[in-house]
Amino acid sequence: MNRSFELNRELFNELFPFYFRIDRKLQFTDLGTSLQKLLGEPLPKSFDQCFEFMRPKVEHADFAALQLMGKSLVMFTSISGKRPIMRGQFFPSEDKAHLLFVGSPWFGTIHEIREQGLSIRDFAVHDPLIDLLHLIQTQDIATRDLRQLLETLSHQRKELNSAREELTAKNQQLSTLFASMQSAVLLEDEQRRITLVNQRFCDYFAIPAPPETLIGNECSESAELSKYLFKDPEAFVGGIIEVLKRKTIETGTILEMVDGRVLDRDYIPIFIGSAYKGHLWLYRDITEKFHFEAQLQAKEVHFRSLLTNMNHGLLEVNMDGVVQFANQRIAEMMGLPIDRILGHPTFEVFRGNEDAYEKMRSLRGTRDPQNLVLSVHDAAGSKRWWYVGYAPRYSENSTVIGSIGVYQDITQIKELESELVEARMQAEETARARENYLANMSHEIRTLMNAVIGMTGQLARSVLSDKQRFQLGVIQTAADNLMEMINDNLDLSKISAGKMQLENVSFNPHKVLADVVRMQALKASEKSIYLQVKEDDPGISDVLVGDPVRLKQILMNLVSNAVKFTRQGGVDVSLQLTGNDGHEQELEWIVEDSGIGMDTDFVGHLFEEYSQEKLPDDFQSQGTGLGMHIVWKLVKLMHGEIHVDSKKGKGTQFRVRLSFTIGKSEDMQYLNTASEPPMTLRGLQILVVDDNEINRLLARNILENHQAKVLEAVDGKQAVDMCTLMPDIDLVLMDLQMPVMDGYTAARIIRNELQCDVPIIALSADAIQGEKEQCLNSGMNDYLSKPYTESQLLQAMARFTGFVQTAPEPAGESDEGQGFYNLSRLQDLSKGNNEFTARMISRFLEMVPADLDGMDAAWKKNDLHAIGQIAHKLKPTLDIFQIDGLMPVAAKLESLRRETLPAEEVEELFVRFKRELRCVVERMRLQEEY
Amino acid sequence: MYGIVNRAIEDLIVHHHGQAKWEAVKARSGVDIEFFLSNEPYDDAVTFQLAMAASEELNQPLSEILIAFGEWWVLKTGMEKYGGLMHAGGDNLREFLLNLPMFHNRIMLIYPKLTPPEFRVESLGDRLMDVHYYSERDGLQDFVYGLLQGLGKMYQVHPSITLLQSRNAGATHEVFRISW
Repeated sequence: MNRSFELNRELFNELFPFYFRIDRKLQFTDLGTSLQKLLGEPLPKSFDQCFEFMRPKVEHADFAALQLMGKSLVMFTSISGKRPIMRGQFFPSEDKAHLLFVGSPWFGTIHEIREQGLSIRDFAVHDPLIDLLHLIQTQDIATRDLRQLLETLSHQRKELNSAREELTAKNQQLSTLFASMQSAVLLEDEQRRITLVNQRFCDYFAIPAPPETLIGNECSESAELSKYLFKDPEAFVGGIIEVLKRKTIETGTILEMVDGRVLDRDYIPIFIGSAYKGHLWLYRDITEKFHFEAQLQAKEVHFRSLLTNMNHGLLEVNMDGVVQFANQRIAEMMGLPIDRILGHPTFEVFRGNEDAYEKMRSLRGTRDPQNLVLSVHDAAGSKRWWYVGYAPRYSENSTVIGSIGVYQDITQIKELESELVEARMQAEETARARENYLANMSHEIRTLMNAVIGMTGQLARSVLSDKQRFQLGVIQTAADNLMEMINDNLDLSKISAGKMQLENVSFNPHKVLADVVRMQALKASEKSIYLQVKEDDPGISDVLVGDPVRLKQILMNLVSNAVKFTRQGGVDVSLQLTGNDGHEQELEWIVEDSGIGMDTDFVGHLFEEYSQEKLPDDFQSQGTGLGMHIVWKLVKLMHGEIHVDSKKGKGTQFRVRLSFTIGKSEDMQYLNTASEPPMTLRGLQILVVDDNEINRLLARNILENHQAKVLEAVDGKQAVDMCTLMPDIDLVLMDLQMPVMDGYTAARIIRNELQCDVPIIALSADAIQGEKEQCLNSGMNDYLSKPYTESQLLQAMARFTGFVQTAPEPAGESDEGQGFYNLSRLQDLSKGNNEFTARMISRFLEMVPADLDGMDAAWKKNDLHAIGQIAHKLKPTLDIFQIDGLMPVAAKLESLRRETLPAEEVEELFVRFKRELRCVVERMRLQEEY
Repeated sequence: MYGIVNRAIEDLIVHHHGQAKWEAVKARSGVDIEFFLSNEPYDDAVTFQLAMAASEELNQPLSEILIAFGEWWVLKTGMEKYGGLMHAGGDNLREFLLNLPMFHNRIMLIYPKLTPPEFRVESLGDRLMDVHYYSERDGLQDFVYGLLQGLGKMYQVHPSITLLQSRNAGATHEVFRISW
């Protein structure tokens, strides 16, 4: 082999691009291209100018020292420190005058190559430095990988530890939870090994070991071992096999045990991802709940059955208006089959009864229970009435989830109610009719009694035989009793109807007492018993305010009864002051007799209506049985008290206690004036206003007997005219119901337009509630109801005339009438005054045909009210002339003023009335001519 | 392939689509490897499974995935992990491409278990070259295409790359013509 070869400089440079050559002075004589690039411009001139040795250590770096380094690895670095370490080897040249360095720079990283402005191409291809750096880089990457992996592992380990701790905590929680759970719990893994089990499970399945000792045990045989605990062991085992096979959640399996307990079982398979990891058994003792639910179910069935069969319809509706429950009864009421109701919206169910549906719909969602009445038509189209009780239905959290309606068919009740309303209206109508009847009857009777009492009074003044006087006395007594009965009945009906109104006027209680005693003194005297005012407390005020008339009525009743029921001894009347507060006084009247007394039993019923005790035969008329009842009612009306104490055979004591306001003496002025009246009516001009001539004649008869001058007017207008023309009229007696102008209007005109203060006394036969007040309101001074006695008339007039009744004056004999009419009553009234009788007959013959003509005219105009008015006017005349056969006909025709009668009946009545009355006129005319 | 390749795929997917998507890709690929070590060789199948799973999971053609991966390999993996070496590879694209064959030849020494591809570069002008690609692996032409694109971006040029021949068409190796 040739041991020598030559390399040209270019090739050498390519192989060793970082070489350099230095001379003895260490001056560079040659530099490799890559080294030049590394050192940069300007190039250093000598080695020691830019490099210093690192290894080996050189004390003095001269040529000789470098020469000695041959075959050693030398490392030197730039003095500036900016260049990389150079590593390589020095070689001496053949001439020993130069040293050749072969080596390359050493880089720690590949980045440093770029930092020195070099690239891979600056290194010789064979130079392993690049590969070395690459390898270092790769190792660095590997190191970074490892670091990252370690970090990841560390992180994962932390997470794992944390998870493990969490898992441990969870396990502990789970174990605690399992232990304290009300349910029996058994957790098995996929191999059916026990992972967790609690004490309750051991208790349920009668396992004597503690639960923790069971963990890890295999369970595949456990079902067989414990099946004897269950009523149906095979079903228990089979059920477990089935669910384990299916591996799906199964809850609420009911297991009945032989000892009566009932368990509820859940099976929960556990999957992680799609991998089956075991399962959980949960057992709960639901014995109590099971039996309770069974009972509840039984009750529900019971109640549903009740609801289904009850007589009320039932409809449960949800908030969407869909029927949730309906019973058979509602189906019957709706006229629909039950399957057309259940599950259907209510608007379908109520089809045809939209109003009812709307009413029910409007209640939906409201929280207040309500009742309402629905008017509906049933399937047959008949109108029905339903009473509905609405109530909201609530969920467990108190939200309204629907409603329940209880429906009751009240059609029959409604009909009954309607009948009741009708009946009540009829009853009210009847009551009104009764009242009208009472008023009419009162009017008629009073009119008649006016004549009877008036004329008997007049007759009593005449010269009579003893027999005649006795007979007259009987008549007067009977008339008085009759009036008492009428008045009692009227009073009672007023009180019962709440229409009795008490006066509130000043009166003297001492005088009232004296009047009552004085009025009964004669009767007592006739019975030879005494009647005395035993005590009249002077502390009692002379003026009290109240209703003296009703007070007198009370006392009169008590005193007259005492006199009536006393045969011997007498009656003591006392008046005592029992209370006085300076404004009011409480008074007590005591009426005590030594009469026949009353049974104790009867005393308890004394004040009841129509109560009468059986009396000894020698007592005559017992009256109406209303007297004491009225007394009791009046006392109550006056807010007072009444007490009775009676012993059979010993006597009776009544005590009445009433309170009155204390009045003033000036309020009693007119009474004081009236206490000194003139003895007659002589010279007084008295205007009698009445459309009924008979009434005018009666009044004229009384008044003229007392020397009064009588003027007459037939209606209110005439009365007004006369008052206008004759301002010296002293008193007016004014009827109320008259044609042309009634009494009220006339009184108002006299007062308001004529400014005339002549006393006006109303005379009315109607005795209608409130009439007196109406009279006073229209300006009249007083009111007297017909029939009135002469005494009553004069007494009423006394307030305004000062008149006191004098002895009666003589009168003539009487005759009798004949045929369809009878003049006896007229003759009685005339008290033998034939001229009066003749005038009355003459007036009858003039007036009646005229009135009948008026009736004809009204008939033609079909003015039934006018016919009624004429009949009303004629009635008293028929009564005086005793044309009794036509009285009922006249009454019927009179009723045309107030009511409508069938046309045929009216015609029949009208024709009969006219025909028979004309006949009477003709007969009377013939009688008079002869 | 070395783990660094699989790590690069992982980084690419995590960077663009998030960790969850990478987990999904890995789950889809059936590759049960928690951590890829860069210097550890893995079966080539692992890399192909990941690339195919990514294509399916991201609903993108495999070629697009590989091109993107090639770019990522140069711009992210190469620059971050071998940045110095990459820069030392040349001052411009031409220099780098000229060094490319030697670069891969050196790798073979560093990664002894690696069978790296071999490149041959034919200079046809200052800005025109043919890059010859020889590999024992099939189906990575698109990856090489992506590598070349990535290099262009690294040197901030916009190269035009054409596949002149391919093993798929019966040639012995792939030739890419690159001009810029």
